[in-house]
Amino acid sequence: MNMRKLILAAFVSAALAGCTSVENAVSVATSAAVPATTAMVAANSFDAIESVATGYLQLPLCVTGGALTCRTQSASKAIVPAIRSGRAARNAIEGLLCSGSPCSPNQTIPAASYNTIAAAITSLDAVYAQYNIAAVTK
Amino acid sequence: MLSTAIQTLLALIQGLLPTLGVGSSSVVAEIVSALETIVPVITANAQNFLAPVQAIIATLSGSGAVTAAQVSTLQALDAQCDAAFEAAANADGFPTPAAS
Repeated sequence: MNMRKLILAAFVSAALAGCTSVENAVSVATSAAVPATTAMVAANSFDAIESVATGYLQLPLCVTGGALTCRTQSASKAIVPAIRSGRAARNAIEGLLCSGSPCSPNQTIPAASYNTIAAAITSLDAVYAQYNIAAVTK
Repeated sequence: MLSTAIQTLLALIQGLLPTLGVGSSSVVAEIVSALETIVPVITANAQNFLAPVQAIIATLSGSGAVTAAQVSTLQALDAQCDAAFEAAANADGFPTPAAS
């Protein structure tokens, strides 16, 4: 466990070191278009977040005297529609990515489309924070 | 605990995404390096995160252009994640809505 904490601490530190070298890091794109790679990473991030939700839904239902790691019906009710709606945003963004070959090396997608999936992820993060989801899925 | 850390990380990446354009190669390299550090931990403890994180690494490590192969891999991952989620949701009493 200590080793795990150590590795995670090192990881987060490295990531934050990267963050300090970037000014104006924001979660919403302000330019007219974002690179396709950014959209790809966002779509993959959504899949990771969906995996968290799946893990949560697979937990036993919370009952008095039951398992400490459990799910509540109210959290499930918030998560399920949020994931399904985020999925629609993810699919929409993927529809804008190249599907043929070769793809354009300078491919971009409209920022408005990117912001839709960014908003979906932010909204799911809020649901997870409200119900302390990430902390109980592992 | 571990999921919290991974999710924090993903949120961080999410926050940095809009800044990752031309001229941000050092930031991308930092993120990829950090992700690669955590992959062994994910493999050992939280395998459900592995595929998405590997895909993020592959995307960020690339030349800057999205390839058709990457899109195809992403769609396969989507299908996997969606199917697992819907199976869990259905088991919990949230039936999959009929396709419109």
